[in-house]
Amino acid sequence: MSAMDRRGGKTPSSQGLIGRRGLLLGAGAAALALAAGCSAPGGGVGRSLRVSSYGGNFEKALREHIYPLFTEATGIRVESMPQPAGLQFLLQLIEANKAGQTPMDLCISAPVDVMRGNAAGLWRTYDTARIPNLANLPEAYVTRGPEGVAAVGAVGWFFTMVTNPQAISPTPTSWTELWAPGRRNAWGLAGTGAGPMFEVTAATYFDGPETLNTEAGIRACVARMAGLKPNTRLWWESEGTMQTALENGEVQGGVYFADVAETLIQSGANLEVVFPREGPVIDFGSWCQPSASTKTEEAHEFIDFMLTPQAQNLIASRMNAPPLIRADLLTLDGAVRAKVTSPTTPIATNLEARRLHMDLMVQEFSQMLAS
Amino acid sequence: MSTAEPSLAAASVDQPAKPRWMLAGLLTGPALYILIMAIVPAFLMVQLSLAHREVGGLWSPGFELTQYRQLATPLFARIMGFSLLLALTGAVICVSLAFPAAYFITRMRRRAQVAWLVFLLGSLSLSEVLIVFAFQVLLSTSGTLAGALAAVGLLAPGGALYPNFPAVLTCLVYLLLPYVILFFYPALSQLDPEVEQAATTMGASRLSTFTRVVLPMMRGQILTGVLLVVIFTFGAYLTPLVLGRPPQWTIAIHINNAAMGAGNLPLAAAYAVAVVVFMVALLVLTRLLSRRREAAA
Repeated sequence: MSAMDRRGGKTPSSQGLIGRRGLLLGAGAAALALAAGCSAPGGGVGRSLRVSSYGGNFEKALREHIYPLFTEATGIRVESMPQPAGLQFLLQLIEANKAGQTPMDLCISAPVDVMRGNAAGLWRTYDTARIPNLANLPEAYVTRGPEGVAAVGAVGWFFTMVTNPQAISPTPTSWTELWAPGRRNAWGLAGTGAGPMFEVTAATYFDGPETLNTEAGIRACVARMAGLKPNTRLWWESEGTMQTALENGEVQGGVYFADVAETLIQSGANLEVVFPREGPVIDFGSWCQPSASTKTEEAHEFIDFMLTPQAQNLIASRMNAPPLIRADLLTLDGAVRAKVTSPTTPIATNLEARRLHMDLMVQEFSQMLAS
Repeated sequence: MSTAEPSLAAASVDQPAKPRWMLAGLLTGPALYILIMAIVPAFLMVQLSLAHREVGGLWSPGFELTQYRQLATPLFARIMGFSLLLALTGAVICVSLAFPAAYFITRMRRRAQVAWLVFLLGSLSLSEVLIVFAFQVLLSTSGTLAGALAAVGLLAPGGALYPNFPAVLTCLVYLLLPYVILFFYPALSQLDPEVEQAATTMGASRLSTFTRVVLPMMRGQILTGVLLVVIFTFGAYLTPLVLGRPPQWTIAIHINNAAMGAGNLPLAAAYAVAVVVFMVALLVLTRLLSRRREAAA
């Protein structure tokens, strides 16, 4: 699993039979959509777009609840497919793109992989004039490559504190709880080399994520993180490992994806999603088009649709994920709002630090853990 | 006799010619396979380790030793030291359990031997992933073993038996034991029983026959068995990842972290080259030492 990626492991209902059945249902739905597309009056017959997104809940919710609306609005049929996260996927995609044959027209990519893809000349640049709804999206979620906009924010996710209320009571209010002397072996924390623990530490004990812009700042954060070692039972790399540990009570809490935790709670796990006063860490995935894909028109229409308040409201209610467009454009009901927005200002992931100091961050972090 | 000699000599010259061609034909396949599947990737790995790491990207072709300089860090020494410690401890435990086990199996009746061999081969068909996660369940707080130990007061309630070094070691030994027993079995079953009978006739007990006759005769096999386990264990990935804490992470995990976490494939390749060099050096050293002992004997 890559540094700031996610979806390395299983997500609820993404594995085994359910996942496979989901795929079969998906194939059925695609066939139905094809039939519907053929008979739709005036709908651009035969227009289609292959879109991949992180397998599991993400892909399932997009396929079932959001893509049909896009097809209805534009007549473009969406062929949805799951994609893994991480570098391996990116490397395969770079090779496939060189060969002129990518399995999809659009995929979701984490900021680090957007950057790597840019460096490798993987992504096609968008014509922003053809995406009027781009105005809905804060600039922070628009990523530029050498020739223009190469990635447009698709969906966000929070790394936040998740606790088992039976073991951790009262509910913590600050990230400092992770360092508390009484919490020996209590936590499962993100163990990826340049992961969100850097932002958590920088925001809790230093001047915020900007601390990570310098080597000295990175070293200071790592030294602080060494204080987490006695309290950490599990340094998780794939979210599936942490999910199992939370469900089995192996850990009493820790740092985890808020949306996956919500899904676990919905399926009966005794967990609580806590937004500490310093804020959860927010990261996001972006829509990227490999340059070998020629469906530029459909891709622009798709991205424009995904930036509508209608689509973003559904991302919140169906995927438990924080929508990325401006909050004033959204119409969320109270319960959904409570799940997908943080009452405290989220801590932005410092991408510039990863661009300049990725190797140092991973090396210092590994050294700290191994010693 | 003298008339037969020339024909015999002629036959000995002619005879190897045909099998040599056949042998070359038979060996071409495996040789090509090794060339394509081992030497080419090894070359690519060395090439990658010398590539230039792009800041904010992946890597570009190059010829530099930047990544090899990172091998001179305390972190790398520590990881290699730990991997070696784990491999040697695992090897000593595995061999000291497997050798007597294989010995006793060869001394059983035929049907019992077959039953044991089928059992051992059967246990090899279990997936490593399955075994490691089964260990995780067994050793967890809610697991049977932890529950039983807590019930008799040997473990604090709510305590767990992992993640730690013994958990990693126990699981690795479990995974490798069948291989090592099966490795010793052929050599031990070919051991002439008359040698032991002779020792017994001369008044040696069963134990001293085993330690002073059987063990020394199998010294070469035992050494190879130890090396087998060391090589397997050195590259262990899943077991230390699931059952260990970060200080118990082997070089394989760090290679993965450098490659897939940081996206620094040149560094991961440099780590891998260093491991190969280390392993080859270990094998050469063992060979030299055993030769010297043979010469001394």
